[in-house]
Amino acid sequence: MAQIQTSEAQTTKEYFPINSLVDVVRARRRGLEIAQEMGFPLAEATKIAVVISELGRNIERYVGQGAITVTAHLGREKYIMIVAQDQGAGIANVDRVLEGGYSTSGGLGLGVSGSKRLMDKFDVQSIAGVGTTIKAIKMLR
Amino acid sequence: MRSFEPSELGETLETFTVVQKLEDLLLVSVPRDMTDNDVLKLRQQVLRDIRRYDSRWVLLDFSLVDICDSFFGRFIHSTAQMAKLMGADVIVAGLQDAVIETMVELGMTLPNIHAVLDLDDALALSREYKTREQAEAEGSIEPADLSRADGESKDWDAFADSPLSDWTEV
Amino acid sequence: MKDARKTKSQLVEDLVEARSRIAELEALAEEALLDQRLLLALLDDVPDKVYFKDVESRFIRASRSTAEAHGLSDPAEVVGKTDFDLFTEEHARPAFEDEQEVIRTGQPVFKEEKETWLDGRETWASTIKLPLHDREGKIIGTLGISRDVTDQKRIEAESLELQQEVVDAQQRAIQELSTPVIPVLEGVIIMPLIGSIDTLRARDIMRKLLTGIREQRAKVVILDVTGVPIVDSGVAAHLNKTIQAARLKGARTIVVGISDAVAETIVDLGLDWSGIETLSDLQTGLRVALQGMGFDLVRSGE
Repeated sequence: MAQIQTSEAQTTKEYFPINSLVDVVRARRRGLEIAQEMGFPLAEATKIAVVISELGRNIERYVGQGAITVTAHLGREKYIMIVAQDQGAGIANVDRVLEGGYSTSGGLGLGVSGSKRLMDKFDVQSIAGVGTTIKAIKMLR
Repeated sequence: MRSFEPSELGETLETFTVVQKLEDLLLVSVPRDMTDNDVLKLRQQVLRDIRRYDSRWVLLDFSLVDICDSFFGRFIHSTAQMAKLMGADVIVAGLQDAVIETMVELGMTLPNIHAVLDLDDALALSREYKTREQAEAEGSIEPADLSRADGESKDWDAFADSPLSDWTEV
Repeated sequence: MKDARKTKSQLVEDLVEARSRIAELEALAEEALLDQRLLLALLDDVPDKVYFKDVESRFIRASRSTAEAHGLSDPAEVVGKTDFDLFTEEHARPAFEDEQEVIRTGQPVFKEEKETWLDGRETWASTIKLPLHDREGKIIGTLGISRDVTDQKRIEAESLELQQEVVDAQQRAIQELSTPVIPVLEGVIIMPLIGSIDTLRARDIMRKLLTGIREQRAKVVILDVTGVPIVDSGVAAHLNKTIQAARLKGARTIVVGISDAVAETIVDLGLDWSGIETLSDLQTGLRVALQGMGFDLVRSGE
């Protein structure tokens, strides 16, 4: 685990390559642990783990490989940041994806819009033919 | 009693009994971190056993599950739909508080699926229905009002779809 | 003295005058020396930092304490330097600007400032800067007096933190009291809601409710909203989520205590409460709940 210490903040990062569903399970399990270690109550840590699960699944299903990074930021501002990256075809209509509601049929929109609702800050950057980066932050109060 | 095959997690779930029969219920202890393949195998197992035991109910016990995502919601729905076609209703039990909070936030409210606290309550529910269904078949009460978990009434067609063994001989 | 030759009496007058002049000058010199000694004593011993700067904010004279604060043994070493030589830009820049303002306006500047040292340290100082005038009244620089208040600031911050902790603890206590779960007979619990419901409170309510259902093995929850003054779409959404959560935990929820105003709001906002069971008041709710569990309320002695 890479530990970056500055005079102000302590930041710990964990990197999870995503090549299979087993990797997704591993990442979300560890994510749950990290969140709890940071001090998030169980319900909030669960939400964080679910976001990792959703984003990880999307990578596995639509691109096949990618990575998820979980950063615990414990400086004056305390928060956890999840970054999901892949080098796939990209998301055509980011806005529509973010609006998607829950339904039994599933699909890309479901996981991403749900994840947005569970976190405090959410950002999707996607370039056709290049890849997608999704960043999500949850503040620790 | 059937055992579950090893999952792709690389850890052998050594004869961890996941699916068991109890009265007219099929008890399923949903394991914690299932991959999509695990889920498919589990569902196949469940459907096979519904037929084998002529189960009226499938109890999905989620006491071991602490992370639920939209896939998990789809698993419950698809299992419920498939079981229904075979005449069995799904009851969900043991959902942890943190899991419920997340589900509700995601809008994953599992409509049309019974939810109870644990196995005891699931058994109580199944016995209650059995009494009522028997009374109806005997003609001692009106057939209309078999209310479902979320307040909607079960319709006659659905009742008619249940396996022949549930109908009393006239 | 036009005439080279003077009378004896004139010479005596001149001499007396000269002596008196010398005495005057000696007295002035004594005074000046005394002043100088007093100034030196001040600059040597004063614990606060005292310093004189010119119009370009260079040190002209500084107290020993000023020199020592910067690790210099001799105050003379400070002469000619500016704050930019002694502090990082973060502190030096505003300090310089303050002095320039004093010189420009002739008005003193009094403030509490954070000093950022070259070795990375940070301290707090309470500083006053005054204009320095020459005999004609023209401003020729500044006089500064700076007192270290780092400790006071730390104590202040700690005290504020402590206050905040007390307030937080009180808040939690209030929350505990305002969201009780009251067990009634056999698997029926009542949760009276009082006050406004924001997102944070809604989350707390949901958690308390789920815990209550689990601990009491409740099958029916009576949610009494008589004490909730405002039910807007936000509150309605929160209540909805709570009811859904209760259901997933195996309990049915009956909402009681909806006032006419609230009923109007719900319909006006177009909120769909068709799936939510509501009854007029707590008494009715309780009776219905118990009957649903198979109980019959009969008055004894009849």
